[in-house]
Amino acid sequence: MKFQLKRLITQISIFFSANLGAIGFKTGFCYPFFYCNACPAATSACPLRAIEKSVYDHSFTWKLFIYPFLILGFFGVTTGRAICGWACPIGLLQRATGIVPRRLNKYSIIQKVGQWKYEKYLRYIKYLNLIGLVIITPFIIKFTFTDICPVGILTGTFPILALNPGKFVPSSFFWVAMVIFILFIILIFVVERGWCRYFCPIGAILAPFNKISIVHMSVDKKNCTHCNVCSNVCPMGIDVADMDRDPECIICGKCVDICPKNAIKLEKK
Amino acid sequence: MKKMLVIQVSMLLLVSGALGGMLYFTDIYDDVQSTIVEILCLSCIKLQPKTSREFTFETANGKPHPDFVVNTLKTKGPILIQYGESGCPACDDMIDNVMIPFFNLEFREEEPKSFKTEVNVGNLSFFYIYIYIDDDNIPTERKESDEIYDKDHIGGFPMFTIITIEYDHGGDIKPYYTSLYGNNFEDSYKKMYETFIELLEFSNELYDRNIAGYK
Repeated sequence: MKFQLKRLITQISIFFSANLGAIGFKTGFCYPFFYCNACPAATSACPLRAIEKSVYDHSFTWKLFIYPFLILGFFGVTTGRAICGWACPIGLLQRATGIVPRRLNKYSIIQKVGQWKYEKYLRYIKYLNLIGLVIITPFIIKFTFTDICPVGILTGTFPILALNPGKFVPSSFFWVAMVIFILFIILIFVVERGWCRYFCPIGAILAPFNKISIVHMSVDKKNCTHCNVCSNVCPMGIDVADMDRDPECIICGKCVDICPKNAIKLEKK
Repeated sequence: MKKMLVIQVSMLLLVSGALGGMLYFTDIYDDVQSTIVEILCLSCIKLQPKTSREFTFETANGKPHPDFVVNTLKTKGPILIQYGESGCPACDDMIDNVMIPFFNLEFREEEPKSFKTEVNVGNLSFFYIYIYIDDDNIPTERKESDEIYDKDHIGGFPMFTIITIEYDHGGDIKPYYTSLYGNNFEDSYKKMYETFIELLEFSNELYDRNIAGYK
């Protein structure tokens, strides 16, 4: 439990740090996680926005393109997707909503969806989002991921509307984005960490780093009895007992806490 | 194990070296801060600011009007400033559908995209300044002028600012401006153009009336 408490404290601390713009602290860094620079309290830029701006309308600004990848790369090499599990405010939100899908798991229809054999392919959507909507469509047709981003609605649109009543009217993408936001809310209440699993473009950037990250999870195969308790608690739906630096692992440590044989460890090398 | 360690150390050195180098040798930090973090992104919030067309003497952040505005007012006439940035569909919409077809302005594809020119439309003349905030070598005074003209305190740049001069009833003739935000302050592009003309005619009238006493 100590592990999870530490994680919760870290998540809450980082959430407040990400919102120090409320007291005027605005930096020139990109967040290494998913958070919108349009949030009135934002301290940094959304890495996706920086990438989109760098390639917008047949342009290519190399500095702006590489910068967010380097920031994410630094955290990726050191901690892999621990950023998703320990730092991302949207991860914190999904940690809270994750209670609901866990309860829903007792229904057979939900179990069938979870065991759907093509489920693993849905996880590639996040890579398509990254390449398609963050790089290609802004470059070719000026359509950006941020035009329809549900996180932008949650952390940008709603606070701005609340703080500036009557000052804004919906733009052309507003209602499309609202529909996507509603689907996002349904998703995170039905599938635990559904956004991280299937759609998050920043998760797509960080995921490959799990293969080489200094911090990672390791399973002692000799001690493991394949009881699958770890897989049952895994919020990312990973087959933990057989995993080896899985790109989906967010290093939340739930498997470490639950393993009756202490066969799963957080490695730092 | 050793192979992995070599990969990890190499990647860490490569990434942190490149990141440190970028931060030290380029202006990327300031760029991101001034063009993404400190400016409200309308695409991100999927909203458009409502526009009031009232002219005012009060600058949005209390700072004086920048020198390039004051000097232009002294020598050229009323000014229309347009702010633009990369990744701004509303900016492109206004350029493609109002500024090019109605005002015959020519915009550059390559940086520096910022430019200034005198514009004559019928009997109306004004000085047009396009400030593309993503341009590398744009003077800071211009780049940061959007904060002065954020009349409705939106937190983003006003897409258009029209500046003229007017008697302030305190004994001085001062710059007098209004700002228009976004690309939907009228129902059609034609109406937007008519709004510009109306505001610019008003600006010209004030300018002609007050220029003799403007120092």
